[in-house]
Amino acid sequence: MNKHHNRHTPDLLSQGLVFGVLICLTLLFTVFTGGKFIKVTNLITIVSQVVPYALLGFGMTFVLIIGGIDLSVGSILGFGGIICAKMITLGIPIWLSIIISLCFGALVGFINGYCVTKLSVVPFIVTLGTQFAFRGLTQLIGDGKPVSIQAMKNKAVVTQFIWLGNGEIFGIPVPIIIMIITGIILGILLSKTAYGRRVYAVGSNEEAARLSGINIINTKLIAYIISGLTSTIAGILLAAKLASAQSNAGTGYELEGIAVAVIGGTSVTGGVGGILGTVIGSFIMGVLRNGLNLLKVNAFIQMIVIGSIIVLSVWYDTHRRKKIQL
Amino acid sequence: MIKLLEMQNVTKVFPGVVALGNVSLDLNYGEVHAICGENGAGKSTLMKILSGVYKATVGKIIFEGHPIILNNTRSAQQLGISIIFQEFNLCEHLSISDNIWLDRQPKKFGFINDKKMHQMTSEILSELGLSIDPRTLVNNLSVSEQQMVEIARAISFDSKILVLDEPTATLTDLEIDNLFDVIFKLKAKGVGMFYISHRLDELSKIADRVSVIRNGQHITTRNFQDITLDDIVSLMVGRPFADKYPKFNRHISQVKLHVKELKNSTVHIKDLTVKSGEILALAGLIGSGRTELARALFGVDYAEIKDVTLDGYPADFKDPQSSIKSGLGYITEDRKKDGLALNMNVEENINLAHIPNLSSYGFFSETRAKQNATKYITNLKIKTFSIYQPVNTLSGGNQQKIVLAKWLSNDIKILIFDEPTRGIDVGAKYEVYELINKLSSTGIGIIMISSDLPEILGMSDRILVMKDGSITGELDTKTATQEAILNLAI
Repeated sequence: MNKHHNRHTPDLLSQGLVFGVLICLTLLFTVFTGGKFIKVTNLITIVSQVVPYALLGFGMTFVLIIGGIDLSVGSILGFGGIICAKMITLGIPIWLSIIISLCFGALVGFINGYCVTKLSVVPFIVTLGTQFAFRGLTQLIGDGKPVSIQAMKNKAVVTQFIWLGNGEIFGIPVPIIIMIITGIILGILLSKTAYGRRVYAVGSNEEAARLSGINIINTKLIAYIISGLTSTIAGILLAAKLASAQSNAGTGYELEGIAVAVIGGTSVTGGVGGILGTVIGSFIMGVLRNGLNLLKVNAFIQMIVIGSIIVLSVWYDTHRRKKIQL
Repeated sequence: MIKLLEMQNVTKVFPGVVALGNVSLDLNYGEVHAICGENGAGKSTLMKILSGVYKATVGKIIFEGHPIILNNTRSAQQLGISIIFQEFNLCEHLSISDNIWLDRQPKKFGFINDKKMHQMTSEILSELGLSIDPRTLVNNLSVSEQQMVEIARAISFDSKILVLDEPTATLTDLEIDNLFDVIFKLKAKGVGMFYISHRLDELSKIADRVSVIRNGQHITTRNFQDITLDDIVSLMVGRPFADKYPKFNRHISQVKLHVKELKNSTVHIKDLTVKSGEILALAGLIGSGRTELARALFGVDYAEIKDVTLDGYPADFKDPQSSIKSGLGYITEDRKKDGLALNMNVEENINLAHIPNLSSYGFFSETRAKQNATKYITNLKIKTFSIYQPVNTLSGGNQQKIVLAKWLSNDIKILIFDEPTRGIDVGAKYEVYELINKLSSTGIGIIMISSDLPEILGMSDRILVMKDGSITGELDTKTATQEAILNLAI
């Protein structure tokens, strides 16, 4: 990658460091699991497990860079999945159901963005509120129960939908391919387009950006819409994987979404970050989870480890920034 | 006789840079010792060493005859050395009293004695000629009042040494006079003061001695009456200095901008015109509505604007986007707050207002962005290692040029400068003036807001004086005087 394109993404040093951490973890787990860890099947498992986190992280990266936060991503995930499954059970073609649920995903993202920009409520509170509201909506649609595709009579539809979550193209699971495509599109959007420039400018100094003629409201709205969309994609893929949409799917996932972005070097105070970092951050998360599982580490201890890593990575980032300022 | 303070052979080395080399200064009781130097010359570093923020790499500090070691600002304050920084260090949501007596409030049975604290504050404030309720929250104060609170806090320490770093940058002339009264009172009490200011003319009123620092080296220390201001400037920049304001013949032609009426809650003006190639100065005290007028005109703040024409055609300034599209540019007063995206680099800042022009089909062209940035770095002589250097590592003058470049690359018709040379050193000021002149020669109409009266008289063609949000008078610069401007402003 051209290093100049990388300049407002976390600098090469820290990006290299995060990548180094990933490699070290991989080596460490490979040694301790006697090679089990590095097997291709296990690696694919890791990436598959990472898909929803990475997707939430992509949207979160945009929202964090503009200086916001989206705590409602987990609920939007559940919401997107249940809308899509409900449509399909109502006999609407799969492709149309997906498009409609994406529209709904964009709409809930828009609602977040609207409250943040037009109503000037702080993002933390807006999305904390919508986290509740969207979850309630999801439960309402599903009547508190999962919406099962598996139970449908039209088995052709069942197979097709399940393929989305479990199928393979050239040996690569479909969700991974969708994650890669989404990542590439959003990566280009952030680093190569006028919109991407605006995102960094708004996050870096909102007032300066406004006086330079940048439409702050639209820039922010779009970031929240992107977050709504990526969360919905994650929700659809999760529903397809399980052949059923759970109304509590994605509960607590906002933590993972924020964590993968932050571990990848996206700043919680805005202006800095990138999709590539979030990809690496997601892999670190996935490798840790999987490796600790293989080593049969207690699930509660895993929580302690992951929580600490989030704090550590933010500490490292702030510490480094302070040094530069001196 | 014992000196109040001696700094002997002070050297400060930062990784890779010698910020100060072997500087020796002293301070007498009851003396105002001016420190002059360009931005980055090392004045602030020296003062930070004196106030315990930095530790000198080499060198001794002798206070009233005893060598002292300063570990932090607290230990300096306890000895009686206080510094008023350029940037404010106030807690906005606390009252004036709470800010002044922070962490050393008068107590009664372990609880804060509010009554006594407010009374103590009132005493200091009245000494400063200020009649504000000590319970007022700092965020309800104007910038200049906040500056006075900083000064009040420094005084409250009963300091023997006071360091004033650009204390008048945000003050109006009236407030400056109050401040000088306080300085004279403190002098009479035997307090020694180091005084840093870019406004050299004000030094002649208060300074006893002056030291010039250039590139971290001590150049000279003289009695103020033995040196002229021009000599000081020459010593600061290291070369003879001819004139503060570049000579320029302007070609003023047809009306460029005309606003029939502009009205909102803070400003109300009628018939504002700016001609092509003209520099129109907006003078007035702080709070007179100059900046508010600029913001309203540019569409940042809401205003009812009637009949705007630009080059004879109707224009629309409802928000910054439409203003920019029409050909308006606005260089704000506070670069760091709303002019620059500080953690972004030179190229990104120069191109901040041109993202649409540098994009095709939504894709941003890095190549064109680079060309554009390089062009303005060369044209404006911006000193930077690369176009990818973060702007927060550049000097004030270079930062100001970057803000300027941001607007030049647009098809600009009217450019508003709000305090164009605030916090910029003398050498860079001259360059900014030259740029302003060069711009006006291309037919751009310029509106210049300034609190620096010599600057207004040296640069503008026409002066509008504002007070309480409206225009109180118009003066032709050729015949205007500082007194005439002040009479209209007060």
